[in-house]
Amino acid sequence: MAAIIGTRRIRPDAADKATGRTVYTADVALEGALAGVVVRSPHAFARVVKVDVARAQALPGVRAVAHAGNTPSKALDFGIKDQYLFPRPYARYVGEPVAAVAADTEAQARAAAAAIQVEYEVLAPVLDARAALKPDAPLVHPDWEHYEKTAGRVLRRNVCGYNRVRRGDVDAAFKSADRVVESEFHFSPGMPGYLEPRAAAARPEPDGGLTLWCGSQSPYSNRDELAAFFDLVPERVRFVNQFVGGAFGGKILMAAEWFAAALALQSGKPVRVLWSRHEDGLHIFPRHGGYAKFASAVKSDGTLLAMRASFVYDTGAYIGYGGGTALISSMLASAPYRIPNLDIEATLVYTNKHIAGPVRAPGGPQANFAKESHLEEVARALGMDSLEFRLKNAWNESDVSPTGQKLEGVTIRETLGRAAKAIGWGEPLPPNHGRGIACTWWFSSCAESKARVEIRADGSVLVASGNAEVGTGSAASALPMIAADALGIDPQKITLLLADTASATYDSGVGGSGSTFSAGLAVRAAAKSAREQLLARAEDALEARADDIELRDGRASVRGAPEHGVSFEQLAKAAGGSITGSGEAESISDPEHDETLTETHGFASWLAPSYTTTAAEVEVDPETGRVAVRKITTVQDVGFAVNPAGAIGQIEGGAVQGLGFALTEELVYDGHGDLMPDFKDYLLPTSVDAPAIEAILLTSKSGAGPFGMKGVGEPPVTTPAGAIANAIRDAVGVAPHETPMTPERVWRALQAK
Amino acid sequence: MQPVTLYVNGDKHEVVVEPLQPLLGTLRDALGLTGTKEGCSTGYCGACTVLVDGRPVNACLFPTVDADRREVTTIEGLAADDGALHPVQTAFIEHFGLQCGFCTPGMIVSAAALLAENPAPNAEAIRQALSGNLCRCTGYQSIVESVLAAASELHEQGRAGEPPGRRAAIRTRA
Amino acid sequence: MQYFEPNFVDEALVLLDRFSPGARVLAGGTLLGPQLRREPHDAATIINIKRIPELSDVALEGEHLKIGGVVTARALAEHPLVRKHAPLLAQAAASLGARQLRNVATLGGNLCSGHPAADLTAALLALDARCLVANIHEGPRDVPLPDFLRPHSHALAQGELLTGVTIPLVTAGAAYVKMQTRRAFEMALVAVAVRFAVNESGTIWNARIALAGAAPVPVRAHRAEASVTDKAPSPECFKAAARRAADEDARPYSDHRASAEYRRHLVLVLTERALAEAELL
Repeated sequence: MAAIIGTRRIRPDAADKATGRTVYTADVALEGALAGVVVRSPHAFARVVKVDVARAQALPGVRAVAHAGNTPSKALDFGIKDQYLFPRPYARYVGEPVAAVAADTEAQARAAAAAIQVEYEVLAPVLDARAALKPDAPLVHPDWEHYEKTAGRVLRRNVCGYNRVRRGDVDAAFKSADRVVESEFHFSPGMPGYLEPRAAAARPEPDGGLTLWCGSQSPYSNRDELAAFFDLVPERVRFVNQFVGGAFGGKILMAAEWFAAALALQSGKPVRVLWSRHEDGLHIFPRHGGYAKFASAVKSDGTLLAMRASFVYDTGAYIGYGGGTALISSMLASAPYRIPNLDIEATLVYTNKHIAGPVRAPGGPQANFAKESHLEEVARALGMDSLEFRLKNAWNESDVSPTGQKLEGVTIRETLGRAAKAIGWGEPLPPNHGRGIACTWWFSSCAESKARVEIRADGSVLVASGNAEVGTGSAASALPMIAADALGIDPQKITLLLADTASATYDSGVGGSGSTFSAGLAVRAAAKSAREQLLARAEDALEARADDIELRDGRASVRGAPEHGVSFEQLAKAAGGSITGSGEAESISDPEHDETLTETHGFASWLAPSYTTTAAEVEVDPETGRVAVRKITTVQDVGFAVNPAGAIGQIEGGAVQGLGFALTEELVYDGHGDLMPDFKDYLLPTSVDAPAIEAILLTSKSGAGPFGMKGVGEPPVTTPAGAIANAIRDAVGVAPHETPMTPERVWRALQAK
Repeated sequence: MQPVTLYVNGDKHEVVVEPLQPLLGTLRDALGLTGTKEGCSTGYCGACTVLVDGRPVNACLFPTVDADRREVTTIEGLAADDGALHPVQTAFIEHFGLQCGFCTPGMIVSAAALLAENPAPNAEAIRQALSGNLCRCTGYQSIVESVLAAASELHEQGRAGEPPGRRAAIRTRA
Repeated sequence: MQYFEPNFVDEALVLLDRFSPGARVLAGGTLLGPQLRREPHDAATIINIKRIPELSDVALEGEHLKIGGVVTARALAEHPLVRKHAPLLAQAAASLGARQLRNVATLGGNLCSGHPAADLTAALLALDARCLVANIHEGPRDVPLPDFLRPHSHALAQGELLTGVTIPLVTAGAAYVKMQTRRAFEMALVAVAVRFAVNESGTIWNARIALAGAAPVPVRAHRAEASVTDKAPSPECFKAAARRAADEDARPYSDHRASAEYRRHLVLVLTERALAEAELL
């Protein structure tokens, strides 16, 4: 049987998606559903004095009104208990939900929402991370001293996260250096940019439970959180996850789900909550904006001696899942380079803006844009070619990470070399054209995941996984391939059941470059178990030994005598109706690192690290500052690609997301903390902005995931901005220190030269 | 409330709508054709692209009343009566032109309209023609490859320049 | 909400007169729909003017090209008469939005939007367009386009209808140069529309330069025009004109998309480029 794993395969979900048959949450028909509408604070910072719902409740068609007065008062717990479902009593960002209404029709619900009278005491907001650090800044959380938090969390006034990596003697190294170069950077916040706005539908069940339809990255943890909050028995809360129209880290925390649930429980009826793009924007979990300062000490031969780096990130009104950005940034700042003396710190700051979240590669584009731009400036200060400079300092096998982790399977040099070659490094270019390069390392994730593989009574194969399909194909494409590989069948023939919490599976959620990794390990284990059971039954049926039996196209037969065989259907029957294999992702311990090198760091050890280099070619119009990206080449060490088309898709998509971060995407806030999330103002790259992209996969098979794979989804978005910035530098001598590098910012950088 | 006669994918429908009801809501809610998606409600993403008399428009902005007695083609109407997929659909499947799939119905409809008008576009012409359809997942490269492959296949089948979708057998016009 | 589909201009005028001030004209609908979804609109009367045949006409009338208010951007980009007699307008129309928007956005809607960066408006300014306004009481009038424009509004009185524009026929080279943050599907940061002819003695006459995104409404760059008139076309001549356009004609504003300073700079750069491009035709 021809190999399945490692081949470019058409996705099983592609036909439905290409014909409009795929069901997303807004497409779910729910009989008798009420329309749910959310009332939101118009102020960036206010104390909610009173929420008067009497008028609203009396309006025709109104079946439920939820607010702080009639919902649980528990704090939401993301490590710091700083947030509630509705304000108690502070509303801390423009758009923060204050109440929600369900009515028979949407028009009635909107009329009722307009009739809810909220009295606000408007307060002065703090809208910038550096301003929030000043000793006299208003406190986003005036009661911070009384907040419960898990051990190790940093919380002081407007600071809600801090970590530091220190090694060697940075002061001495700076004193002894031949050159010291300093650079400062600013990143604008951004949106995940998924095309499908958030939506959810909830239906109360007769057993006191709840069924929820939504498009989440992590339906299991959502289910647990929702059940705990509303005091429901978790097993009676069922999340039926639909196909997700893109997520990119923005659909991990619940949003519409909360209000669908609250209103369904209160009204006793099904409730649908559908958001427009604009409303989705008011509830957005953006990519962190912030500042970075870098200083490097270097010898004149190009050897890096020491680095200081400091990140200040604007995490918005609540901690949510914002912590990863700061942790990851401090691990990226000096990598993948050999720098013996380090002092890297990252601070998370509260402001009265939207809750920044773990958008695809949290901290990755930001830290890499800053670091690779800075190192480019170091190379230029020395008169060194930037590729040569990077190769001189890049990690070798058995070097150590910033936190002392021994590195194995280090392929950074290969990615640098191949990317440079592919972009034509060193070949002549016309005026105002330039080439740039940027590289990074990244982690893989192995989280809890459980799967089931069932050979059913009719011989068909069902694969059930808790993993959600958010677009990458990790779930819809790679998982059937992994199961098919073990069972010798066509992956297109597999019935896939994903992310339904009633399906006796589990998954920690899509994210952190861990889906195919974790869910793949679980499915592989489940398929292996199913295979073993099939072979055991076949041994009896065929009176042969398992070693002599092969599985092919739904039959077990003796090798070399295919007519002497038995179908899966017959084997299932012999087993009493079905054969089920269960499996889970084996837990893989994190590599060791040196804990003395870190301070309040929770992520200092990276599993199965991958290496990625992006090279870019640009043309700059120096009169207008406009940058046209002509080509992007990304070389990524993926360990092994279960479906190369999936890995290439991640690289190509990530290249354009990275380009958006670099050149066009800016989530604009005004002086009142109001934002402009509509696609008229938030500029995603169009097909004309996107260049030709060359994706090169390195398969070193050294990863710890199934078949030697490493995490794939995030690295591609972390390197394009640095490569584009450096290409601009190559073309016209300077580049902005701020993202996005809009034409105006490029023009200003040229003016300042 | 206005009575409107819609010919959608060759089928005739009589509906009654508010004057400014966008075509998108009518298709999805009144006719149950949920293949066309709502991405932004303001005409800035193209996820809702449908064809009216063969021309791509944003259904989220297009008043239903303006589609009265005109041919509307949605993603559901591209396949042939016997279920055979339109070559653009097949190409997107075979050339990995989709990931999450949310932009895909609008993208495929837009691409089908392009090829009817320009049966042999190059990559740049494809990118220009699809500039009103945003995609966040693919980076567009595989979309361009899919459209090039579809153009080739349509040519092979002798269908270059053929208008996409099913037309009503009889339409009444005032 | 009441709704009407008049078939004649007079019918539309009667309705506008009767139902003003709550009457709203529906052309392409790209702006009206979202607007009314944002604001309460129970009292509005919608008058759909797309069933009035003469509003879709493009025709030569003597020494003028007359274009109805409901002609779409796509039609402007492709119509043989527009391409021949007002290529500047065709070029501007082809740059508007994306295909889906060009199929519904109308000439009248663009003019009435009063957007400072409206593409069709800028081109029409450089074409000496006059607005044709119908009024039930006073009869039709025509208004020079500059007098019609208002920031984010228009100069129509209650009960009036913009039925189209007329453009005098002129043989000239023309160019529309547009700058945006990304490379497609976005309103201009700044755009410059240029038209000029060169007479037998080799000097420029009939020069028109219009700026979008450089003032509260699209404006003519009169001083820049004066600067090139009666001069032989040359890079120095164009540079000088661009300098006057930037320093004297532009009244740029700052917003979240770009600063006034940068907009002024774009006027300088794009005016020079548009003049050079127009010369080549």
